[in-house]
Amino acid sequence: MSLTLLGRLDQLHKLSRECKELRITGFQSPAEDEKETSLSFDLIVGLGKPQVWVFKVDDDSLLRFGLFPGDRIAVDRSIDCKPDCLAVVHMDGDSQYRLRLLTKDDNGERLLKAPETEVAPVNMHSGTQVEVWGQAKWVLSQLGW
Amino acid sequence: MGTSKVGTQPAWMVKRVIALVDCNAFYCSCERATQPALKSKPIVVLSNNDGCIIARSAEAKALGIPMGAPYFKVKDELRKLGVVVRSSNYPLYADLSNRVMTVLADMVPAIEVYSIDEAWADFSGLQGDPAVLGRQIRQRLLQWVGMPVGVGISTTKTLAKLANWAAKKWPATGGVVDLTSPERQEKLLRIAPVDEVWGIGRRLAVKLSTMNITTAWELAHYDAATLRKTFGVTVERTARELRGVSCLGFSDGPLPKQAICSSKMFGDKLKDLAPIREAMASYVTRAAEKLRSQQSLCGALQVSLQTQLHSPHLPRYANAMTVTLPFPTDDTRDLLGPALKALECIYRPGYAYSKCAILLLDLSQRGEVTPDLFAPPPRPGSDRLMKVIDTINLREGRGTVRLGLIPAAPDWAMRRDMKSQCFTTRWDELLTIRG
Repeated sequence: MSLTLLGRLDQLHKLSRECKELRITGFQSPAEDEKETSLSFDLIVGLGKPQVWVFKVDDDSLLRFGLFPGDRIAVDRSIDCKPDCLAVVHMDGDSQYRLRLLTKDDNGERLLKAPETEVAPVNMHSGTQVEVWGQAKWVLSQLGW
Repeated sequence: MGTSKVGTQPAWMVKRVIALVDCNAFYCSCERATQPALKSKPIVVLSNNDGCIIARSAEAKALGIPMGAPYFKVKDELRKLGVVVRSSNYPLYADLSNRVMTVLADMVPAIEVYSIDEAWADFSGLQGDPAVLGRQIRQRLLQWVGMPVGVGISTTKTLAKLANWAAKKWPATGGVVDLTSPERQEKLLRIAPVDEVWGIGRRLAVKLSTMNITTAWELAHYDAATLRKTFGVTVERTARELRGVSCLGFSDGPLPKQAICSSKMFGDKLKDLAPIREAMASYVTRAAEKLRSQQSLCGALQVSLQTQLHSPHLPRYANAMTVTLPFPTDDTRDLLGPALKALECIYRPGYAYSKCAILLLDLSQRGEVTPDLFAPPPRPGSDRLMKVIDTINLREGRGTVRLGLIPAAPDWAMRRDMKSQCFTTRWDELLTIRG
């Protein structure tokens, strides 16, 4: 099963192959020339691109970043993470991906800050083995059924 | 692509440059790409039903774990050595393969997907150093998909394949070998054993050694007519390709399959007909999906059933039956009816069966078939129904709509006790993240 969220027009095209066979038999639509593509979460999030990966927030440890358990995060691995972005990281020996705020300290060195203040920030120049895996770009939250 | 642009020379003047991009230990790399805890650990991946080892990471190879070893024989040793064992997870591998090919297709003018883990990339006409582009491809696939690859570049497919072998064998190459210059080609061909040449297996290498051909260079410069006479046109073509004469074209995509097979070992041996019928219905459904996806119709099918043929202590039996269909069809129901009848004909009680298979034959493309005037008419609405079923199953997951004969969680399904999650294709199995 692919992960897809499609706009209405794309949905019609994708889900109903017969729509290609639909013909206007009376008057042509006066809106034809002005027609625009409908909104697509797929396109804006980049879902389906090879560099975009989807994560699920596993617990309430990211509440201070505004992320709730069960939220889905779209992560782009093609972006070079810059300060003030939320980076998905993997620290050596850890079995879990972590979300960190990439920022700079007073000396201009890059720091990775955890949402919880009691977790010490990691200086990326300190020799700690940290892999910056990608940048969190979008969050999808379910607000109700 | 920063360094490469399509040139302006006419096509006949453009030097042919082909790269082979091949993923390193693909199945193991897929597991590692999604599970950070597996970083630098030895990993092996098992075949269907957790039968034997079909993929090893470099660390597992270094431990001397043999390829193809039956899992039950090496299970204890793997545990002692701390090797991570995974059942094959084809939805994950297919998705990562798709990502690799998409990245690649975006970086070069044309690609030819050769298998799940390797593709030819056409570098012809691109300006700049091919090795630089090779390194860009390698770096991007590692960064975007987490997939390590080797890139071999040369002027023919066989030379590119050999360059890829060199890229993997010698880490100092950085995983990229440019073998476009004749001087470099000669240097590698003189040291490459002939059994590392694409299409030359170990058996053939033994035969070649009796003719004093032990290196790729010796094969390349052997008399072509003698090679053709002794081994056939394929080996002659290989020798010519090693000399830089392109004999294998660059195809844009695979032709529709001439036959479609669906077959899997049962998770446990089956004696009764009822569960074998269920399995057959499941395999026919899958084969029919493949048939429809390539817009083909099927004119005949072959059903086969067998016990474990390598167990000397159990009674052995294998049989097959071919059925010609009354009219070419892609309707699962029209394929299943004759398939089940054939299965009942070849089934014999008292045996412990390990596998059944369906093979769809006599395929023709839709629109190319002249209907038989005297054949029974197809079921009304068949095309639309199959389209709707395929669409729903594509959206909601395979098997969401299926024939009633197929259980949701069959007892005979393949054993995959150590399968990782489908991290990239199922909402309920996504990668997880914490603070």
